[in-house]
Amino acid sequence: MSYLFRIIKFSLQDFYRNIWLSLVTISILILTLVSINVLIAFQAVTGTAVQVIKDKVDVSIDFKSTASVEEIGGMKDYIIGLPEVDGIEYISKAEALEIFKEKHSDNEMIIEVVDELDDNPLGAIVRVKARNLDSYETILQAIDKPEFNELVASRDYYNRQEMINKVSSWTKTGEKVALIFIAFFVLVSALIVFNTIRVAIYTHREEIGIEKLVGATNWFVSLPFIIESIFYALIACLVTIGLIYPLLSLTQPYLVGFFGSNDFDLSGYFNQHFLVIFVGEFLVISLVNVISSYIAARKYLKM
Amino acid sequence: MIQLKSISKTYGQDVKAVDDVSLHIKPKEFVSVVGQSGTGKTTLVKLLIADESPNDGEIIIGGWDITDINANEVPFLRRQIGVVFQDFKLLPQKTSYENIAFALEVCGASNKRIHGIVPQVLKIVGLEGKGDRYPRQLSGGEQQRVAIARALVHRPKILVADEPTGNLDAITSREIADLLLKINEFGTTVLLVTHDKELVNYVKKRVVTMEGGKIVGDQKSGRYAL
Repeated sequence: MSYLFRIIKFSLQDFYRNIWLSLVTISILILTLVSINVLIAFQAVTGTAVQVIKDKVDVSIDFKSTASVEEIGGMKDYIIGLPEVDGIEYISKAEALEIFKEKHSDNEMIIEVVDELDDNPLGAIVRVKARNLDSYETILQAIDKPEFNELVASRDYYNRQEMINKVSSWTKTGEKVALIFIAFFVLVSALIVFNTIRVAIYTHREEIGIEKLVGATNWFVSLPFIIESIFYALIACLVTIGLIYPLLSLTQPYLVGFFGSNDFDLSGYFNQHFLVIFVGEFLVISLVNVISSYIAARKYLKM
Repeated sequence: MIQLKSISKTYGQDVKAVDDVSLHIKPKEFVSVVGQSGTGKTTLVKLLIADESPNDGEIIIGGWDITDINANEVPFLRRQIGVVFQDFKLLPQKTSYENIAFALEVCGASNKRIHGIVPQVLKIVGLEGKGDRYPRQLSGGEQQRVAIARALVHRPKILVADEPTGNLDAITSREIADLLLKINEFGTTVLLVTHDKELVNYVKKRVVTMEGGKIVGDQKSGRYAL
């Protein structure tokens, strides 16, 4: 236990004796981690955007006002039975009228005309959701039957496939650019850590010489430098957490504007995946640092 | 205790620092290795502590053949051989006590063991009560005593002193020689490497003389002859 304690003590001494170099190293690691988190946030936003667009896609079947409830019911059962269908929403004639009136509540003339009519001129509506985007064409073909065509006034299919493709394409391009930046920062971080440990070894050359002279093992000599590099990763992760949450809060109003609702909370997303994101980042950066510092120690301590 | 069999060490193509040296030092013996600068004395020390490896020959320390010693085994060899140098090699930011304790700390000794041993060795080297002083607060002789104390904490079987009085005046040099003789009396084999004629004559022990990388003289109770 005291052996481990001493190694940690020596690591902290190394850290403080080269405080400015340590701070520069940590700054580069923070840049790397922030860029990784920006990519994660970008993926979360674009993933949600695609999902929101997908949710808006449906086939709307407007029935003639003359179609009876039984006839509509028969067609509903047929549609639900299709394997491509995920679900349907049924709006009755009365509900359709209510929705129409509500929509035009500020136009008295329309409301008056509707009220003057003896019968409800609107038909029922069935909205169909497919299991996936490719199924809409199949569903439309399946309901294109003579017995149904007599009941149906119109079929409306709003295809957002093009928009989804565009968003997916932006996402992929954005990810590629972000990955190049991350790879660059990780490489720079590894080189900076290597150089910092090299300088730390040079600064401690007298002490290291004495350690070796009195019988310290190579591991005892090199471990403080390796642990020092893990300290860098830990501090960089903590500072990144401190920076990233205010940044996420700043973007939230823009996300609300973009999605049109408060359903998607980026900070909440990071909270939900806190362990995977930040512990994962700490482990990855620590691994990069340990490899860098081990190579530096091996090279300059003649292990 | 120490056996050198036809040892040679060459630097570069043709600089022979040690040339076909054979030497046998018995346990508890006190041997002075003398010679002028550049005769291979320090190279001999480096070979003994495995800081260098020989090009030819065999080195056996306490029955352990260290000729081609593995890098992982070197620390364990160094715990059996205490070494002191002319420049003391003390850490200026540590007190005498901490400098001595450092040798135990880096080898994983418990705090209890450190607190038990360090005061003992401080007493042996005559620095009782000066454990809290930094090297800059000590005289040259006292600094060398700290270095000797540090070399003794592992209770080594061999103590190698490479020009230990090089930076000291005559009186202090004798004090250091007395300390080395005292350590030898406790049963530690002492190898004193020096070119200090007065010191060798004062010690009056076995003298091995080196010249041009070779041993040119070996007297049982000799004097500095060059």
